[in-house]
Amino acid sequence: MVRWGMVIDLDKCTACQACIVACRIENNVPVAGEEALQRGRSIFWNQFFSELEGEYPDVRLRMFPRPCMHCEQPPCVDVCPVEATYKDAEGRVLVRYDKCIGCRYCMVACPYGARYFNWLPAVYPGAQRAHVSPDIVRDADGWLVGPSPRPSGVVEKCTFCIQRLEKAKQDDLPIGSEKPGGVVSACAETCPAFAISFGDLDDPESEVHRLSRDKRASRLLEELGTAPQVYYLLEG
Amino acid sequence: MSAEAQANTRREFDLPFAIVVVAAAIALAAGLVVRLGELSEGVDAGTTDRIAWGLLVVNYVAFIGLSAGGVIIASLVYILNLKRFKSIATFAELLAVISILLVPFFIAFDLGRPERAINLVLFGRIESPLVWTVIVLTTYLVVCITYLYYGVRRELLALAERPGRLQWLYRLTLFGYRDASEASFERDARLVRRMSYVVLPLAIALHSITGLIFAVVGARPGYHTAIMPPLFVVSAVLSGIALVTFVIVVAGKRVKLPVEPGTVEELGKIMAILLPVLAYLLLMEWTVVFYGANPGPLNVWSFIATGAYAPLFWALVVLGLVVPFALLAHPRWRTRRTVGIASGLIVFGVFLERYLIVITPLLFPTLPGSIQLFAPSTSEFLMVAGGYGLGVLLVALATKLFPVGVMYDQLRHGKPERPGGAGSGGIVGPSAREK
Repeated sequence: MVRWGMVIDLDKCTACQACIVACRIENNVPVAGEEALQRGRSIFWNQFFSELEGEYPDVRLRMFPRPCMHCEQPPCVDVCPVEATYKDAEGRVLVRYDKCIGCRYCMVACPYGARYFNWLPAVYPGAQRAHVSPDIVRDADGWLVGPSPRPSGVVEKCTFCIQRLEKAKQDDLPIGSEKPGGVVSACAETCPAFAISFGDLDDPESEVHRLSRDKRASRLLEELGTAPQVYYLLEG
Repeated sequence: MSAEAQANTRREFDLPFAIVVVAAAIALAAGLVVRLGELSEGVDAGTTDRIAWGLLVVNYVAFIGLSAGGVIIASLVYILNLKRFKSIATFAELLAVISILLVPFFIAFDLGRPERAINLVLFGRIESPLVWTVIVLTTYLVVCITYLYYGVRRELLALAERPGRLQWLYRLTLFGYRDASEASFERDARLVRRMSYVVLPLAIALHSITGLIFAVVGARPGYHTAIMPPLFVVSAVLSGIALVTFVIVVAGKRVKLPVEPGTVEELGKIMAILLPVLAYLLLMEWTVVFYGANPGPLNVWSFIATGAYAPLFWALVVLGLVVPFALLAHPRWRTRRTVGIASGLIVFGVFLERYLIVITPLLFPTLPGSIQLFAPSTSEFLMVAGGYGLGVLLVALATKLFPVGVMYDQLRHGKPERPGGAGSGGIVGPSAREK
């Protein structure tokens, strides 16, 4: 079985946030603009968090990117009333855009804030229009799960760049950070510090499999029992 | 219609009633315009990426709760055989049905894709508490309408037998039913009595499930507590009875309800019993939270009690719990006026409770970050007002078109009928105030 996962090494991470930008471009995430930002409505499939730990003078700034955790026990899937969000055969949590009714229960249930509602129709002003990726991915029943076009009034989220993986399968390319020329998610590909590894957690040969068993490996809010498929290697 | 009746009509043109109806219609129209704009321009509520649910969900929860009043009062009549409430049971049930009808309205105004609401039926996942709600709410609505209908069939038949402008309507609602024998009315009464045993557990299930929508969310401190379902049941029953009482006190005479003397005071007594139960459940929750070291719920409730929402919280405690209890506790203070004020305060207080319970847990970040405050938008207020407008219109329409209260008086007490007759007019009915 394939089970896509990610490991983010916080010792290597320089907090440059290139992963955040790469994600937006790869997945056509529209720029929010000042007004939407002030209203607390800005879509970040991959979001950057910073946290001050300790008290002065023993302070440490901890920063980390947060894609969707693609939990093994996803609380969002449990509450969805219409099978719009689901765990697919390759271990991804996906949203069927054209099935979602926009009740936003999954956003309330997600402990990671990884799910975003398309409050407004997506607009790509000026030159952005030309850079919108036309990729579309549909599931076996024909429901839209890929990134483009993005309908308003529904919830969306990180797909582990499903369009890249589907294309790699079509073109018979290898997938995973450990493989030469292996296709990975946009954030992993962009990372200049090689802090993000992507691959199959169930493949004993894979880098993510090895790193996820590292003694620095940790998962966000592990106490909730969601069992994320995204691991962090904490600062050593 | 006779000339005399027409004169009657003109004389009885009811200005305050007309103002209320027009205002309600304007509110509904404004809400609809905002919503239609949203469908093309995007959702304009005060909700954010973190605070995914806003005022419309609060109202959705509140109106599910308000529907409890009719059911409880009707059950008191038929299960506990409390005859005193019989005169208002029908009206209470009517308010319940209208409250339930507003629930899908608020859902449709909240969903990002209301046109896909049918997916709830086509692809409903039984694991989701929202689907439990859909199933139980639909059942509840059908049962409540049936319950209401069989409860007033005798009055409808009496209305249909008299000539009048709306006679066709009453005939239509009877579906060919003509049997005016006592045995037939007995059968209806028996059916209604039996249905009470179905309706009551359904109501408990519905309000528990509404609480479970929040309680099952393990990731949200403040939602994730087993007190939610019982708290929602008690809040629902209390606010529901308070709504019925409030409407009877404010508009009972205007819509010509046959309220027997002492009924309002008796409702006040029931609320005086329920208020401490609600306070008790809240107190238990707070005790556990404040003694525990779990920062999640502690943050939520500390913020509610001392943060930006403290005014709402203390309004709930003082105006929603303490003052109404003080007004209702002593039998000598329970007059029509005080019970009316207390019931209004209770409806308001329970609404604040809903607001605090639904909104506050969403303000807090689950990952590093700071607290975010919720500010409902103008659009949101207009859509909520639209829902209230629809509710008022439905109550006005139902009470004017179906003056069953008047018929109830005539059938039970042989009260005389004025020229024009109850069935003669839509907007104007006869005066039933001759006591």
